[in-house]
Parts: sequence; structure tokens; C-alpha cells
Amino acid sequence: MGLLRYTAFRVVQAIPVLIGITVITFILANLAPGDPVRLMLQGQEVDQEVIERVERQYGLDRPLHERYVTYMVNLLQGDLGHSIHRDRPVTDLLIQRAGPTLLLVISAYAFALVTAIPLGIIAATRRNEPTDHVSRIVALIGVSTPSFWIGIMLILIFAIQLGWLPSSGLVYPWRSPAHYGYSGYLELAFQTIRHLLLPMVALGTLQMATLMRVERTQMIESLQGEYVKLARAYGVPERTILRKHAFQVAQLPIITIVGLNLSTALGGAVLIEYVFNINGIGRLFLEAIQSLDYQLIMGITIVIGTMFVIGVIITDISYAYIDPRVTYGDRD
Amino acid sequence: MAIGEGQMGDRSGGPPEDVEAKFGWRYTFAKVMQDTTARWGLYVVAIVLLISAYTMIDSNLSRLTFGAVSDFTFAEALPIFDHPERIPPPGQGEENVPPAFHADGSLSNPLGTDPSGRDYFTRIVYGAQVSVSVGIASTLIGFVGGTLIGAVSGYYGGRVDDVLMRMVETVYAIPPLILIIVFTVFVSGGTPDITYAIIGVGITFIPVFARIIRSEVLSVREMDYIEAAKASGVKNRNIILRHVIPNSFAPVLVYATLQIGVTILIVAGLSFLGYGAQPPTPDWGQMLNVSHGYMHSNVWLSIWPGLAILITIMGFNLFGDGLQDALDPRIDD
Repeated sequence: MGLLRYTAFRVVQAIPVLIGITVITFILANLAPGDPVRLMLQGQEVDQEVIERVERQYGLDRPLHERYVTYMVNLLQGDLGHSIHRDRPVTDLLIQRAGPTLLLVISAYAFALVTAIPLGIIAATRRNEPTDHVSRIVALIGVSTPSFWIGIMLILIFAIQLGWLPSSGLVYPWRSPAHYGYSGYLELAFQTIRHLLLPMVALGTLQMATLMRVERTQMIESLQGEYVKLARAYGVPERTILRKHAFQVAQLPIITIVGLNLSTALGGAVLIEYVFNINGIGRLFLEAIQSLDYQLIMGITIVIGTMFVIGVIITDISYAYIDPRVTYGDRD
Repeated sequence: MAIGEGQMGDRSGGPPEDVEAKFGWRYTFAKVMQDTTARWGLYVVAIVLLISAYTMIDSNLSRLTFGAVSDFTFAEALPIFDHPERIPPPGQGEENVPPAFHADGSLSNPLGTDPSGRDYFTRIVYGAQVSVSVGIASTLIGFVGGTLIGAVSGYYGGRVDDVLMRMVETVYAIPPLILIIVFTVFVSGGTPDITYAIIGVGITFIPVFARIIRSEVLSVREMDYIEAAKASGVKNRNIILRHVIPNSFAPVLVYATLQIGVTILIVAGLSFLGYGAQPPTPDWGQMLNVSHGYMHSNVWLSIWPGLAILITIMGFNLFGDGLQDALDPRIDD
């Protein structure tokens, strides 16, 4: 019960932020010098009459607050407006491009977690030994390197010099093997991984480095806890202490970091999709910016902001679920 | 009283000398210098700052000396430097020369030349200027904006706090890179420029600074001296500016140092996508954008700017980490 109430509380709390995102995006897009239509034409000479007609058609001649209300009413029905440039509903465009971005971001996180947690634990248990120093240097380089440059370097090494992995595009596991001309699902899975490997590492390195640092600090702290000392005194094997006592407690901050870093990961996806030619939301955003397709830009910003807010709520709830101090002992 | 004052110091309320010494600037600096990695970080930061200060003076000095038309730089007088922006006329200056250690390279272009025939080493050196000045300028915007919002929010509390914090969370919810690009493009009316990028990056950093200062202010505002100031009728505005902000400063300052590294990282990405520094200005991110088209023909072009970014950010991070440790009273040497 406590957890359910907590969930509801977090969702209600997020509403002002979600509204705020739409307000910021709306203001940015509409207070720009020159009206959207002129901005979109980028200096091309067009009759005043045509401009006025287009403005009327998209309701741009009405006052700002009226347009915002209309926009919000449509938004609540899942309609993010119509891309004037592409002559298609923004929602359609977003749904079409969401898959690759989600695939990329989720796999990057998977890569980061799978590498960061063991490395952080090893570094913590062998504190101030060579292994610890090496992993700290790796973490330092990881937080100091631009993700897109890691992508470029990976392409240079593994695609151009060695020719082992493809340098652009993705293979989507939700398509049929026949679509790509593959023999079966096994080849589809293999190709999906082959294409995903480099962008995944490029996007995941920063997350890996951040998580590794946190994991190391948390494990060191956790291993100094009273319960660990007690377990040691009782002669519990070191392995069991690590696995059962120290590990669980140390994972809590990791969950929070994963949620908060979603913002960097989604921003990084824009760069990685650009470097690796992946047709996700990030590339769509850059295309929209280039053509100053303001409805599409607004749609993408709102959707990505919302994704972040949902991500943070999910991590908060899972935190509450795992940490008995928050869930009123509501666990089995 | 005179006898034993030294020993009594620890308990008698007044700060004893050896404890007070732990918080001075000199003490902090000494502690940073004791830490090997932090010291190296500081060296890197100092070198990068010196280089960018020199190049900044150089390019402006030549403008002052010769007027806006001349694009002479004093560094050109040295044999290892070329002009960072001027494209050599056809026939002079070979394009895409590999670095000096390569068989086809030469010492006159230590890092080779770019696709326009400009010396890459000069461009890398001059590129420090943009990264560093943007990093510092936008961190400053975030710092000042965040400090004001955080202080007001924490000091007044209640509804003011609620409204300001929801606003801050909203800005925080949109990924920085996306918010900055949207801001830059719309506010500039479709012609992005580094000035808009600086302001945009600064705005996206307001939330983090505001949160840190707010949590500090929450404890500072309960202090007796705030109570005293209120009782003697000092205006709220003056209490915030004279007492609350100065006393909540230290953690934000450390954070600002660490933030410069993050800023350079974001600006590099922004320039890489074409929304930061514009050509022909040498900038590491923008150079990587150009080199992206030459990945098959000239590998070196993609390597040097990235290394420059990596080393600079690493310097700021190492120094920032060291500073954090030095200012943390819990960590003892």
C-alpha cells in the first residue's frame, strides 16, 4: 500500500514539471525573432499573402496564450501537432523514430551496468592495489572524453582500420529477417549485435565511468559497515559477505544515478546517432533543427523531457521498492 | 586564562589556530599540491589557461595594432606557428600533411595540416581559447544565476521555494544539449553563434547550482547571525547578499571547477554538431566536425582535437577532485 501511495505521490509531483516543459518549449519556439513561418523559409522571398495564409492555416495568427491552450488540449489527446515541413503528424514521426533511440539508450545502459558494477566491486575490494588504480584511470578517462569522439575513434579502429564492425546504421531486431535478406533469426540477432556494439560502447562509456566511481565508493563504505564487521566476526566467508551483505546496500545510489543520468544519455544519443548514422529521435531532432521545423522541435523536446521525468519516477519507485526503509516493510 | 589557553582552545568555543588554518585558501592550496594527481591536474589547467590567455591577447592585440582588417598574429613570427584561420593561397601550403613522426610529415607542421592547408598544431593551440573561455563564461552564468535563485529559494522557503524549485526542475528535465540547441537556434533566429551557445549553456547549468546553494542556505538561514540581522531590521535583500550567499559559497565553488570540465564537454558536442563556434574560428569540437568527413583519408585530423579535449577536461576533473578532498574536513591526510 505504501508503495502505491508513493507512486501516486511522485506522479502528481511530476505534473508541474511536465507542464513547465511544455511552457519552456512553447516560449522558446514562439518568442523567437521573426515568426515561425518566416524562420522556416530562411530568407526566401515569398508573397506576404502566402505567409498569411499559412499562418492562418496553422493558427499562427492567434495570440500566444490561445495557441498554447489549443496545443495543450491536442497534446493531452496525444496529438503533438503537424510538421509543416514534412506534412505529417509529429506523433507519427516520433513513434517511427523512437525504436532505434530506445534500443541504443537501453543497450548503452546495459553495457554500463554490466561492466561498471563488477569493476567497481573489484576496485573496492582491492583498494589501492594496481587493479584499483587501473580502474580509476579508466573511470577518469571515461568521464573526461566526449562520447562522440569515442565513437569516432571506435569507427577509426574497428570499422576503418580493422574492418571488423560496421560504422553506420542499425539492424532492428523487431523487423523480420527477410527485410534485411538474412537467413533466419539467428543471423538477425547476430547482425543486430554487430551493428549495435560500437554505438553502444560510445554512448555507454560515460555512464560506465560514472557508475563505476559510485559503485567503488559505495562498496568501500558498505564494506566498512557494522553488519559486515559482525558477519566477519562470525566467520562468514568473504565471498558471501560481498554477495549477500555489502552488495545489496551499495546498489541503492546506483539506481538514483541511472535515473538522473538519463538526461545525459538522451542528449548523448543525439551525438551518437549523428556519428553512426542511426535514424533515431536524435537524428530527427537535428533534421528538425536544420529545417527549423518548429512543431517537430517542440514535439521532440517535450517527448524527451517527459521520457526523463518518467525515468526518474521509475528509478525513485524502484529505489523505494528495494530500500526497506522507504517501503514500510512491505516486502516478502 | 592566559595560561593553558592553547590547550583549552578545542573546547572553549573560540576557534583554535590549528583548526582555523584548515579552512584558509593557503591551506587548501597546500593540500591540493600535496595530492599528486590534483597537482598534475592543476598544472594542466594552468598550461591550458596560459595558452588561451596568450592566444586571446595575441589575436586581439594584432587587431588593435593593425586594425580590424589585419589578421596577423604574433605567434606567426615563431617558426612552429602558422595563422590559425587564414587559408594559404593555392600553390602554397600542402593540404592533409600527416604529423611529423610520419614518414611523409615534416617538422614545420608538427601535427600536419588540415584539408585547407592550415597548420594543425596552430589550430589546436588556438582552439584552447574557445573551449576555455566558453567553459568559464557559461559556468559563471550558471554560477551567478544558480546562486541567486538558490539563495532566494532557500531563504524565503514556502511558496517562493516551491515555484522556483519547480522551474529549476523543469529546466533540468530537458537534456542540456537539446535545450541549448533549441535555445541557440530559436533565439539567434536560425544563425547560431558562440555567444548564444555561452548563454544557452549557462542557463542549463543554473538548476544544479541552484540546488547546491539552496541546500547550503537551508542550514545557513538557521544561524544566529541571520537571526541577529533580522532582529536589527536589515532588509531581506541585504541579508541574502551580505550574509546568506557568502556563507554558502565553498561547495558551489568546488562544483564550479568540476563543472568547467562538463561545460567544455558539452560545448565540444555543440560545436561538433555545428551550433557552437563557427568556422574559420579554430575550435576543437568544430575541428572534429570537419575531420568527420575525412575519416577515411586523414585519420590524424580526428585524433588531435579529441586528445586536446580529453587532456583539458581531465585536468579540470583532477584539480576539481583534489579541491573537493582538500575542502572536505572529513578527509584527513
